[in-house]
Amino acid sequence: MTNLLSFTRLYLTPVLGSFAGGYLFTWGFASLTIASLYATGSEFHAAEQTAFLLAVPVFLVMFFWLFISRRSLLSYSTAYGGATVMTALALWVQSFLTTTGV
Amino acid sequence: MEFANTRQAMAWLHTWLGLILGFVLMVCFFFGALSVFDREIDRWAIPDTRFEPQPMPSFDHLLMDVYERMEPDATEYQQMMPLYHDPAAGPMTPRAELPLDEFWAYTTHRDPVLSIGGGFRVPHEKNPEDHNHIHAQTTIDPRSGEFIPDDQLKIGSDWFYPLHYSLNLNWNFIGIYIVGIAAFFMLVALISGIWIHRKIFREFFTFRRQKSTQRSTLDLHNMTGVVALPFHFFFALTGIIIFISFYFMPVSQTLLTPLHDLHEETEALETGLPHERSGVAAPMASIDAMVAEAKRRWAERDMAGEVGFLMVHHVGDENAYVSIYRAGSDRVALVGEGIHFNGVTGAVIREDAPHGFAEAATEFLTGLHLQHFEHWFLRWLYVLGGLLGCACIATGFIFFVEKRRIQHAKAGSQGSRIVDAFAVTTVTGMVIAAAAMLLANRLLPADMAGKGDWEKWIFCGAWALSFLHAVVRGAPVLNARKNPAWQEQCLAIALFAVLAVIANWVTTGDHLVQTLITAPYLAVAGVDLSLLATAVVALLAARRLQRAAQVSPASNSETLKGEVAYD
Repeated sequence: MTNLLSFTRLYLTPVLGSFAGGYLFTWGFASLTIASLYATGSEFHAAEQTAFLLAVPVFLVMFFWLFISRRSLLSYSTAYGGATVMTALALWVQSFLTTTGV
Repeated sequence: MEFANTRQAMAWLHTWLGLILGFVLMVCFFFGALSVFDREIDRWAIPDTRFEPQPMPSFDHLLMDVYERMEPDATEYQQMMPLYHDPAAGPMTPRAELPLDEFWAYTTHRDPVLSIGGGFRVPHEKNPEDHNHIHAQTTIDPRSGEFIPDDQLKIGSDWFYPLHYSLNLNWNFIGIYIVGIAAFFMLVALISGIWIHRKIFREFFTFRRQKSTQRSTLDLHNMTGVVALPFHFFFALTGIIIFISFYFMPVSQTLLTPLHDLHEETEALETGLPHERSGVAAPMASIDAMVAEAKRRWAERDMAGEVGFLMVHHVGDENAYVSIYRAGSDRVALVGEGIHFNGVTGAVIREDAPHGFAEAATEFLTGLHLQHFEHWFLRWLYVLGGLLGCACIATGFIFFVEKRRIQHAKAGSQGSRIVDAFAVTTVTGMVIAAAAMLLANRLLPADMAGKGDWEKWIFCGAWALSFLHAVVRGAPVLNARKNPAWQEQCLAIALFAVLAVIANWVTTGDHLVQTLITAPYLAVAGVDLSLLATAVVALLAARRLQRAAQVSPASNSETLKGEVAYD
């Protein structure tokens, strides 16, 4: 039991934390990229493809950074905070576009 | 986390994530490699379809009649009809009387048979915003319009192919998610692998087969990883890209749904392609004439070609339109050069404009993964790349066990035995399952009810038995010796593969002399030859394993100096 807890704390949590942090950051990044590009005149699917082409490298970079940094405040706050801010911004841009019908 | 440096952290990631997700990735790579020739495996599995690839048949003279005979899927009707139908609005329409709302046909340069399907409208729908369609999908002989019985499983395209991206675990798309996570960690394993191997160029040329199993296995792992590194990286990446917008990061279907809907409304206005039925009945114009016009326009653009996919929307309605896409057998990018026609007047509504950089890049990447192009040499290179991926993962498993088995034996740990049993199941068990399925396909009667289901059960049963066998025979690993299941399963592969070739000959008369020389049919010959090659490789491996088993464990293991600790 102690071994399992120790394994979870030392290894599993950093991997899952890095994966979740990287994923959420990338989610926010993709949302904001699509909304911003659409707002600036890009076709929706072109904006989607641009966001998704960039999403995989962004996810990888974030995952490695979070994993290597060993739960540093900077990396984790960038990932989770960045995800929140970018998602909120994407929602705001979307709300602006759908309200004004641009 | 307790790592002395970044390189050690990378080694940990590479080892453990590679091990855990390697079992999934092995399935993806092996069945992905087989999927390169999925249509050819279909021909082998369904002898009635062993004829030359056919172009899209006439819609006016053949297919329209077939669509009238097509019925909605019974299972989907049972499951979805109560959800879509509003009893207060009227009685539930019987399955066979549902009106056809849309239909499609799809073929490639490798298909003798034609895939067709459609969506049937649900009258008295509960929520007009719902999809409200019950679907049908079937296969026909395009020469006669006869349906190919659904009981005859297309083993290549309907079993091996989906296995490589969904593990055939369809409940809530769980298999696709597992494969997606595995693909992401494949990229992580590749990058961390490069990070920990400083002398990557030297490893390209290093294989010391006379050294210990542990040493030569690591050399082979490095070599197969480095030789096909772009292939491995590319396929994991493009696999993710193909599914990312639907499954892995469905931003547009969730968070940005309002924006997506806004775009759809704008697009419908811009393209002139009606989003909804008008409710006014109208007869269809000649689809063959539209096909001829589409071909003329492609030829005018200096890209003459055949139709690959055709879809009719809002059948029998004033708003009907027909979308015709070109078969992409002469290019890598998955571009359809779509032309859309008014279904009632037959006039062209619009031609799809060339895409911008991001979409063109995605089309190229997905096209390179899905390889619809006609290039047989490149297809074989894909198979080679897939098999190199399997070799890389398999040697990773073996190295993991080799490095630890003496240590685990001394400590009385079961770790090596468990990993070894999973490795046997994944490496040889998977091939046994595939060969057993092909053998069963030839032995079970063609008109047997539920034949395809039986084949699937045999596939799963054979795989489960290989796992049991690997576990039961794994006791020697506890004493730092090799698991005899490796050798025994290699022999089983050879046996099943040869029997499958013989069974094909006996049940269809298509032996290799005929399919290669007297009446060439390379799809069947290719599968037979691949099975025989597999048998030869399996026999050679079994012989080599027998020799290795006679060598003492201590002399077959050495400490690898100067290497990263893979603990």
